[in-house]
Amino acid sequence: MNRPWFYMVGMMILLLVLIVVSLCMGIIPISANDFLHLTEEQERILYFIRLPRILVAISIGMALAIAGAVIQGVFGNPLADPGIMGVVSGASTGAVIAVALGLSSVSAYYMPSFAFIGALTALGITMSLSWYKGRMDPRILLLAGVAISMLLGALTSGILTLMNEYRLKEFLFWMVGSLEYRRWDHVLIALPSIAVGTAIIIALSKHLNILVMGEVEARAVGMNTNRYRMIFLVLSAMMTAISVCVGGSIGFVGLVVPHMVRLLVGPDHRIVIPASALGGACFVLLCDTLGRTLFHPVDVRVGIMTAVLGTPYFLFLLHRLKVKGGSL
Amino acid sequence: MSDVVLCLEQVSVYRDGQPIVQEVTKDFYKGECIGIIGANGNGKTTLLKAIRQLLPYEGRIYGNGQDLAKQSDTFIAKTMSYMQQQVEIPYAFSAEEIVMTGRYAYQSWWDSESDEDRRIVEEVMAYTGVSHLKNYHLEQVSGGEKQRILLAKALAQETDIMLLDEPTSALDKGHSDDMFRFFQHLCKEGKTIITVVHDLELAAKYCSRLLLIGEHRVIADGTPKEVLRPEYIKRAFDMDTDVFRDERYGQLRIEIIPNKGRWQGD
Repeated sequence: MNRPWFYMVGMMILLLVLIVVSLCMGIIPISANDFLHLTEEQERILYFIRLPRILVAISIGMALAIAGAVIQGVFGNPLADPGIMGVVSGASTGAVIAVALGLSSVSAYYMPSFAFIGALTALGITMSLSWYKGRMDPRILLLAGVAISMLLGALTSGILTLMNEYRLKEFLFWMVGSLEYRRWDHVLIALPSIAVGTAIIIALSKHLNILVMGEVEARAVGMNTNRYRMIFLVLSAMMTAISVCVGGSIGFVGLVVPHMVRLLVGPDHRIVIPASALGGACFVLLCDTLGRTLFHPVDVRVGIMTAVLGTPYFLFLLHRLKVKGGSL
Repeated sequence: MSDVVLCLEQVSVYRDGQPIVQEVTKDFYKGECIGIIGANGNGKTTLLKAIRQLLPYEGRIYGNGQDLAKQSDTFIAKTMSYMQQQVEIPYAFSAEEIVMTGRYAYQSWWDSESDEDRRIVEEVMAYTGVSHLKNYHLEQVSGGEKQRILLAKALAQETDIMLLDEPTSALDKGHSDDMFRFFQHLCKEGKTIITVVHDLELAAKYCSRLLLIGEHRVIADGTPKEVLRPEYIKRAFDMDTDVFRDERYGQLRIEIIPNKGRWQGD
């Protein structure tokens, strides 16, 4: 077995172990022996609380890590983040509008729907700004993404200042990224769409290997860079948007996981994409499980845990860059 | 040498309304090694990029008899390869993976590399002498080796025409000479090479034909002996030269005559 496959199998085993551990741990612990003779209460906890939460964590982890790997490939920048195109800010603005209008208390579907519309609107504006003479300029796309993010951030803050305390809290809980109270409804929103997105990106992943070589190199070997860049950006933005809708803004997954994965399995995106999916699933599930068990009875939100675990790694990378120079 | 493989008709490139290169009408033939020479900023690289359809241009460019502006990316990639002056690849792809990208146009969108692709990559890497570097990254090899890996990538495209933008700019004199000798060999095998080159003596030694660009247009076209004449060089480079034949090696030598006032402070 060669090295990439060794790590892939390792991550699969790790994910299975994490699923079992996550099923067992919680306010009411369920030991491995209990699985043979579950009480009705334990069954209900597993089926209605822990299993959907685990599946949402896995879906979001996969989506964010893949989106990050794709964005880093498209921009040829190992530190690019899925939020780069204003998608996360757009989702936040959408969500805050849903909260401000009081729709979030009417149905659980309003906030994710508004967040999704917000994300796609932001993506549309960013992309149209970067279009010039029939071609998309990645540099302008980056800058347009920053500008749109800032504008939407200001809009979100503006709306927040007008909201009452209860609604403010509701939005804040969504924004820090949480998997609390995630049920089968959320699984049904996230899992099928993310699974389809993942399959499409894996099928197209060899084209990322060409795109990453840069505009001229890619066109020189016969790639329609415009078409593929567009496809990859839209797919990664959709993946980010879905995960933000379901779990709020969970940072560092798209930045840290693909980077770690590349160190382990090399740069070939045909391996990097599925490995990032596994790595992202493991990372988010680990963060969520630790968050809800370490400081029991306080449920530390998954967005906080990913930042707490992701920041040291990111700082380590920056330190390495400073000391050793060269590329990340 | 009668097969026209590339034909330029009234090709001009403008940037912000300013001409970068103007009204180039030329035929290029099978087996020619063409050096594009001229002072900086006169449109050598621009002309090469326009030929490769990487820049918008006016006029027509025909490759293997087809109007390239109307052809697919795949067709163009199978007709001509293009080697950039400088290549920075952000991730640590191995030399073999980089050379394999040259086979992209031959694969369908869902397919990975075939046995045929692998065989060709192996062959071109052996041909350019970089087989032993196949697992190395570009950061781990010397400048000369990097250029040979990129040349192998261009060869993996199996094109009749190769467009090379200053392929020896980062190489020392010895490696540059080796590289051009290799180009000469490729041309004998039927490739048509069009290369931007700064070293006039190197161009004179190995190119069968030179295109001198000055004042944003072609001011001389012909054999090195016909093109490298002091009056043309003066027009293109604004420098006085003495061009003579070195009898020991039978090579053209170009000696610059110090020209007062060319630089500020002289």
